Amino acid sequence: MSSNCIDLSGVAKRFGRTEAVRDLDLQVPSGSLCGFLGPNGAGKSTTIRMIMSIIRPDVGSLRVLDGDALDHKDRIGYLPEERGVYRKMKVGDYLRYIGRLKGVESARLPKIIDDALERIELPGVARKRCEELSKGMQQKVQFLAAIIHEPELIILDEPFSGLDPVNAMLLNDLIRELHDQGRTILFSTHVLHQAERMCDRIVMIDRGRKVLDDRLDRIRERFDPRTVVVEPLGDPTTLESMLRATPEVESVMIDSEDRLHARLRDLADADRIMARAIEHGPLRSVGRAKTTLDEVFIGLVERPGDSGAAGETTEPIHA
Amino acid sequence: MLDGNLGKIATIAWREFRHTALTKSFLFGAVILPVLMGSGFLLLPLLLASQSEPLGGAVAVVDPTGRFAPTFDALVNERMARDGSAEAEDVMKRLGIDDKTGIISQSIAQAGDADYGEVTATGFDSDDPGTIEQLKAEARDGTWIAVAIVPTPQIEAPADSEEGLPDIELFLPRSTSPGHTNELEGLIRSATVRTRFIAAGEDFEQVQTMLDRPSIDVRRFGEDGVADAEESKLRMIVPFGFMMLLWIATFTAGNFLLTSTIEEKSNKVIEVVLSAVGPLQLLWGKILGLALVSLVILLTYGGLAIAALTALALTDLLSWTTLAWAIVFFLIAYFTIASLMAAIGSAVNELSEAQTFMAPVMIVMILPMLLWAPIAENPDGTLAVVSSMLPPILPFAMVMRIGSATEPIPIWQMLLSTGLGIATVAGLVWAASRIFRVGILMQGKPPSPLELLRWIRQT
Repeated sequence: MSSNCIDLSGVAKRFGRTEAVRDLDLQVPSGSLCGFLGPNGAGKSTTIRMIMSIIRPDVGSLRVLDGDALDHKDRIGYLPEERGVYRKMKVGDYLRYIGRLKGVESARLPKIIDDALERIELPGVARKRCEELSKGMQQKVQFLAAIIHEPELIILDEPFSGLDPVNAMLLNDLIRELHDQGRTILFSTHVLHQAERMCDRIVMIDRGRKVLDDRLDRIRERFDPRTVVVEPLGDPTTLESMLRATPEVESVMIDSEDRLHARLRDLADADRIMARAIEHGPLRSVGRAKTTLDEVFIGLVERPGDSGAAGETTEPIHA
Repeated sequence: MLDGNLGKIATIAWREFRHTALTKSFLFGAVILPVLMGSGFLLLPLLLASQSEPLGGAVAVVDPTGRFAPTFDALVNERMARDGSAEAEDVMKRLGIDDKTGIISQSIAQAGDADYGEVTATGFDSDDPGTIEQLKAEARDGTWIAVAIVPTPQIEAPADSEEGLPDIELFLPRSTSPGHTNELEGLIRSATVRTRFIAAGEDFEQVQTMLDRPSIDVRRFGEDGVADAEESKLRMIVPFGFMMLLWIATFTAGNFLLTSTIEEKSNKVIEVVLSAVGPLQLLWGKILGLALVSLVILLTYGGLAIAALTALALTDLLSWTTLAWAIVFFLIAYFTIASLMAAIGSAVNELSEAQTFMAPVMIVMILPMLLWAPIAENPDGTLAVVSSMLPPILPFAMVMRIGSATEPIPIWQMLLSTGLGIATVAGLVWAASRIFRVGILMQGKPPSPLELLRWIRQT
């Protein structure tokens, strides 16, 4: 098997006059935990549905687990964005049914289901009808249905939508556990801090086109804001004057909490600027500003006419 | 791989069957209720007979002629001595029901006979008001079950009487049941007519025999030239029964298929299922699962029909060949309806939207009803032959022909109809699978019929 679990090349899909996905190349390495990000309507779900062979691309090649997803359904776990349950079915029956469809032996299913329900903190609901569960509980049951057959590739479309913070944290832990077990996970979300907290790789698309595809650490490096944040103990104005007088500092801004944000010129030595700030006076804290995915995202998906965004380009950026 | 696919289809089929047929509402509505109703229909006369108290007691008859009371007693004795099943059989025959075992006739006769107990009449010549009041008082005290005042003109009615005859008056205690009231009225009317004949010096038995309408034994010439007995008017009902069996079994299951497909779409569970199986596996699983449901309905209603025919000793109306052909056309009918319903269910999001596409299904539903009478009347006529070759109504038309044919249907017609039916099913299942594949994931506005055609053509 190649090192990529998912390999898309030049994939495009059009619905009527709408280009949902345009010339998309996407590789998800085996064992990675990849966040698939983009604004609403960017083409995330369409791409995922093409990966799952639920819909076919108009052009381009698409390989999942070195073949067609249809041939490997039992090796893939999929949680669709549009998901539901058979309302009248009992939870245990529903999970057994999906498990059987995904090729799990009947004899193994009762134990798998009991253990899994225990793990998602829903013990004893197997005999309840799905309609008796709250929406959040149903979401967790749907997640279980997606992974009940212990797949090697897991694709989750907006897995956190509709979950309260406690259950979102539980799901976060479950995804991490699955990743630690060596499974490849691709999940889409527009809640960027979730992806930032979990993923080792990020793919961003906008209007059907890929705008970012790289490891998270390299994204942080590439989108380093080159900004030093200093929080003085006293009056910030003297420190501001000092920083403004420093030739390597391009601009200085004071925020509402009296912290100074000094944006550095290219090739400036941030360590030296921080050392000078420490010498200048007593500080509560000093450090480099960290790029957030929100900033990268806003920058990359900037629309014509938008202002104040951090991004420089909307061209695809490849690793 | 094939085993895996078949296993998944079987899993889907079993879920569909289990969640449709093994539910309390289905078992009660489609199985238990018809069985209870069928059993009740056969057992009701016996139950009624066992429940009703026989009429018994003495009737006081005020009759100045003195002729009424002996005739009344003779009539009651005659009826008590008579085996009522002969009369019941005659009634059955007139209705066109050939009750060869006599089970139903006996039940009816028993139910009828049960009303006759020891009833006697005591005549009183005097019709003065004092006597009548005395008799009424005794009736209130329970001495008489009724007091009848029969005016003399009712007995000696002149043949050319222009004036209306005075009514017979009947006084009954408040507690007399409606059934016993009818019985007494009937006895008094019959006894009055009989007394008139006796009074006129006629032989009542002879007149009654002369007025009896003759029964006719119809026979038809078979292929070997020997005249066979006409089986009964059930000849007309059997094809209707065949068609209705098919109709109920296929449309009930077809409706379940439609609603289950729409439910999966509206519950948004469809994409979860499609992540495990292909759309064609899902389609086949659903169709086969509901085929089992259809079979349960067919066996329930068909079993009841066969039980009724067995009770009437009319099983010679059916043969194994007829039943085998009926199964073939049941399968053609089911797959025709199922593929249409699956395609419609996958294309729409709500049951109300499905109405737009139901027109072709309605045609298949209504046409067989309209064709029943002409096909049963002339199963070898042009209309019958053409409609039994015309998709998609051919299975319904052909079972009606099979049920009503007095001559065996030519084998080439049966085979041609089967071939056309199978080809229709193959075409419809193919088209349904194309529509299903696209429609099942489609949300929003339902497609137009033209869009459906485009989905079918899409590769």
